[in-house]
Amino acid sequence: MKKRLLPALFFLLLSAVFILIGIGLDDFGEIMSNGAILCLSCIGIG
Amino acid sequence: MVKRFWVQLLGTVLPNSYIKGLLTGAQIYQGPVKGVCAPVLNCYSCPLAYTSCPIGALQHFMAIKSPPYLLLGTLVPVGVAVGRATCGWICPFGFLQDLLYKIKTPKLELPGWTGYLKYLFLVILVLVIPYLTMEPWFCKLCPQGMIEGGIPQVLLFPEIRHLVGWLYSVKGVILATFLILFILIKRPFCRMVCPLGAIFSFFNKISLLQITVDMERCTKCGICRAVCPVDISIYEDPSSLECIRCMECVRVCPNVHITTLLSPTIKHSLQEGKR
Repeated sequence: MKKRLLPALFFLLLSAVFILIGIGLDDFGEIMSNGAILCLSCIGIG
Repeated sequence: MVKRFWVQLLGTVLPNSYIKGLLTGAQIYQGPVKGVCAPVLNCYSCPLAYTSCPIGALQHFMAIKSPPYLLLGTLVPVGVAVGRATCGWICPFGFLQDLLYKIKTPKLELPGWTGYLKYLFLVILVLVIPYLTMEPWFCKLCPQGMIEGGIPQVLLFPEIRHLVGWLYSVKGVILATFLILFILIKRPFCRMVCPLGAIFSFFNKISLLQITVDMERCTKCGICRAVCPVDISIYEDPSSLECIRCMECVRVCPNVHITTLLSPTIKHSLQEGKR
């Protein structure tokens, strides 16, 4: 169990850092604006 | 007993319940929830989709040459917690494959090496080519995008029909091919193509949710493989990269257990329905 706990904790910590950086860089707004435009590639016409 | 079917149905319906858009004639949902990537392959161009597709968003970040910090920060904890369980329990495209495989026909098996193809798709079509061309090339070929985005958008909005060309036909052929494969082979898209499954697979080795097999009691009878949606024998490698943590093997075999960090062994209600 301990063998799994350490990498899990490492990745969770790393994720928390990524989330903070992402919020700082407004990744949320970037994902939202990307998703809010109809993706022509997804629907196969562009 | 937890019925996976109902969880999968919820996982399909909940992120795709923007009914208001259909009533008001909106092509897609454009509100704040689109800033969230559900940890499943679900096209954000679906007229009903509330959430964004993580693979579409990842390609976008590659195209703008910016590290996808928030995306990684949301996907990694899911992987650390449950590995590929989202593939087995809430992915709409996985659900479709499970449903179509129930159609009674002669079935085919995939060679084991095809499992490595999804890592190629991840690196080449999702990371490298979008970075170089600034175009989401996985999206251009994605059959899920055709089902959820391409077909409904073209049917519902006549003003975009004149844009339909060769790419639409290519996507149509890819979709038709996969739909046939879904009937014949267990989850071929998840096993060969899905870049999200490829990302989550790395976490199967370290995730808090694990499967263990009592090897002293295991008779290698093969029942785990018979019920497995990705055709693996769980006793060979309980933390296999291919395992989608659907827990079907746990349900049918008394020697396969779920373990978590918090509760070392849970031999739980999954089997109660069988008794």
